[in-house]
Amino acid sequence: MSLFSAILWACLAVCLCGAAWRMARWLAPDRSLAVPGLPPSAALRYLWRSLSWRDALAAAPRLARAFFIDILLQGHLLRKGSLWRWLMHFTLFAGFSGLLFFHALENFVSRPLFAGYEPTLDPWQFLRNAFGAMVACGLCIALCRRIFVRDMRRTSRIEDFFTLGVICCLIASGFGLDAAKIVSPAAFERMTADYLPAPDAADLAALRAYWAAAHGMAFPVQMSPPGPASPEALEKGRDIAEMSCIPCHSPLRSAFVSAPLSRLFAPAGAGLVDGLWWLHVLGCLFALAWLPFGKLFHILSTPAGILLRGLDPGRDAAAPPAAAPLNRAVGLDACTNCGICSRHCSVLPSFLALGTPEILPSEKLLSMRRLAGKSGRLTPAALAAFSEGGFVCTECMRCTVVCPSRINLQDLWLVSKREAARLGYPELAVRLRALGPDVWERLARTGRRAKRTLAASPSLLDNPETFAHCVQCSVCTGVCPIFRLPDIPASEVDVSPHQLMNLVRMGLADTALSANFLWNCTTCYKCQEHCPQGVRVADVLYELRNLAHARVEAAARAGLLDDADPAAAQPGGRP
Amino acid sequence: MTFAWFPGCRIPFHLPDYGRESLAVLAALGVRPAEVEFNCCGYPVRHQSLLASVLSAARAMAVASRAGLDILTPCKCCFGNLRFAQNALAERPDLMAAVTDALRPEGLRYDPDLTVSHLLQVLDRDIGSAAVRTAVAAPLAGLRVAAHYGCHALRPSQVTRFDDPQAPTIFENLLAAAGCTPVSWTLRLECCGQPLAGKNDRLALALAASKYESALQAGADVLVTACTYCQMQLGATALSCAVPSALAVSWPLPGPRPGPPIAVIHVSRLLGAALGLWPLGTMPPPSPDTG
Repeated sequence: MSLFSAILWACLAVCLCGAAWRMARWLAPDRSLAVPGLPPSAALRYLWRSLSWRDALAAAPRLARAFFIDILLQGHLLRKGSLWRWLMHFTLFAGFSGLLFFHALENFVSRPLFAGYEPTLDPWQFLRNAFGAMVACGLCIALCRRIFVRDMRRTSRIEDFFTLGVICCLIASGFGLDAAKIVSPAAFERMTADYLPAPDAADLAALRAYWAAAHGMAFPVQMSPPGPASPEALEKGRDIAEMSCIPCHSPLRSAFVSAPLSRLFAPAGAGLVDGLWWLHVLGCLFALAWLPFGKLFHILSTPAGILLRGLDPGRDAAAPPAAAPLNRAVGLDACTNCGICSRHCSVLPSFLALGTPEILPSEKLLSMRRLAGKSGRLTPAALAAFSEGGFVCTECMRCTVVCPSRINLQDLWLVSKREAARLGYPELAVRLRALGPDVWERLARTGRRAKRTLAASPSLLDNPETFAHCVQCSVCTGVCPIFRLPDIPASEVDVSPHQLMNLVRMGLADTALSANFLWNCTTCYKCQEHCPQGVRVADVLYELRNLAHARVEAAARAGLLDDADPAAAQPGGRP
Repeated sequence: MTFAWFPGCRIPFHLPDYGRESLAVLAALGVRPAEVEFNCCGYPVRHQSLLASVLSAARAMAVASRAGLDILTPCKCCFGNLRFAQNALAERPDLMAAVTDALRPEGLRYDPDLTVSHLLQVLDRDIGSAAVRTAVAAPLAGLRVAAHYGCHALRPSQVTRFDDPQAPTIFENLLAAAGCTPVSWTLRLECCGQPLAGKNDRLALALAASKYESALQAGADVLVTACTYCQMQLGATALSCAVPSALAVSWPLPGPRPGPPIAVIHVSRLLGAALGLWPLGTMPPPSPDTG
């Protein structure tokens, strides 16, 4: 076995094992993706059982249309994305597919199917250049979009550029190899040995002269005589070439990329043939082995997800079918990090203000993939960010509508909230309820090191005028809807609105932050509307909540929150 | 009347009927708001960060300004927060500067002169109760309705300028134009409890229960809302996606939430029925074990 075939088989084995491993995770999804009350591993069984011949027949036209329009022609990119996005992806996909089937697999596809196939004959020579040019074109658009479009830059990761780099390496080495071969004397000598059975020296010299003149081939000095060749020799060379070479060589102008490139290579590049061959082949084999472990896996997972997606993602998210874990696992793998969800995200301005990447759907999906891959072993900081991102989401469903991979993101986000809560990270406001005054004081002390943002520099709390006119008449408490409810435990109304105003007025904001009532305010603004002194009671309550969030977020970012882990607090606030 | 339709985030998934039917009612009355892709109004994030909330609202309003349209929303929390943000931006130059900076890279500019209107205001002010009365094809005579006002449109009144905060009439006028009989009920201006849903379910449901009881005591057949969040909280048709959490107080115990003892519908369903667009349908019977 040659070195090449050893590497080929090894890479193929890695690719197949990796793909099998990832697909096995679809069939036995992580428990974080489970539908409550049902084992996640049974998803496939449920899907299988729910299918009947009648359903399959009814769904066949829809699936066939999805396959041709959405998978082969990628119509969903045109519908949900833009012309550039479609052009970028379709040229990459079509060019790469053409190269794969007609060039890489030529011994299995082109040669058996097309009589008289030779890679140096048209249309194959032309097509190879055309497919390569398509991929190069797609690569350029993709790179430009990721570098120059601001929203794309925001969500682009190293892996995206690495993947583009790998494809770039394959295409560049391919064109380079083609060009080097065109001007390679070694390739010439190999061909003449094969196709000119008994050449005499004069014929060979004439042929060399002809190829050197016609194709710019640079023969070593000892092979070709110095000075320009005589017209007779060229004529003779042309005759031999027409007899022995041309039947297998189309004119070079159809190699519209590699032929001009070969002129750049002409004197020195010929010696690069072996090196470029290894670069090209090793690059292809690396891409093959890496396919199941990177975003290139979407070549398999995205079509699977498109075919598995239900007709009504909203309904599937509201009442997940038993097979939902399977769809969720495939969906997590189907993301290509194209970033379109984050560009259209309803809470994008919240991300701009708060800066937590997990607010953006594309980033949250990455956290969720980690969660599902490691069974919840995210660090507390990562879990806190995951929870914050999850709960800032307003469930508007837009990302689900625009996702070109047709992932039911709405369903995943509802699961993400459930999982964050299950792992002890429910909505931050719920966790903040549980913190006592001592924690707030400590956070206030240590938090000063954190950057004071606009959100953390309240204007009402800092201004004595805010409370100057409060006469503690308790009208605010009298009109509060929480205080009129019957049978409410005393702990829920531990401090009343007018007492809260007084606490803040006395500079006891830390005590105010630890009041359960602060988190029970419905923000109905009755207190503020009815205050005879014009105190902005509800606005102050909002600012106190803002302050609490800002302090905890600053402390969490600075890694100061470990021993005051809100997850360890008692349910339902402090008694 | 050139409006941009601002449905708010909760409509597409949680309450699609409210969006669809509101647009149908508006179209029947000659108002066709344009579809524009908006971001969140910023209401849900307001208790977390004033800046995030005001930036969200300002971006949405800048998007409407760029299209040369005023905003029309069926959600009172969206309405309230957009008005709140307009006020905050006028009041605080530091916020205005931060928002202007954040919007500049997108080429967006916040325009303080933009008008934000709630569905009820457009029906009452732009279309007019008289025009609605003329358009009514199937008056809902004899239907006793309890109008639920919703907090964030009404208060703080100096900011929202929606209606008289102590004695509003806009909702009842409209319901009377549809042929219904509005009832006077004690808790009509009170909170539905939605802001606490998922955070303190016990209080959220106790607030909702008190609203049902008050409407029933006043002899109402139907409780009518004009806000996505209020309808989600009080209505039975809303998709319940309450997040179970270890720390949230759940009520009474894990299990299905009791249905409302009184029919709760949104204003567009009722108006559409009065305009003859669809039948009102039978109101779900009150469940005996709640209220």
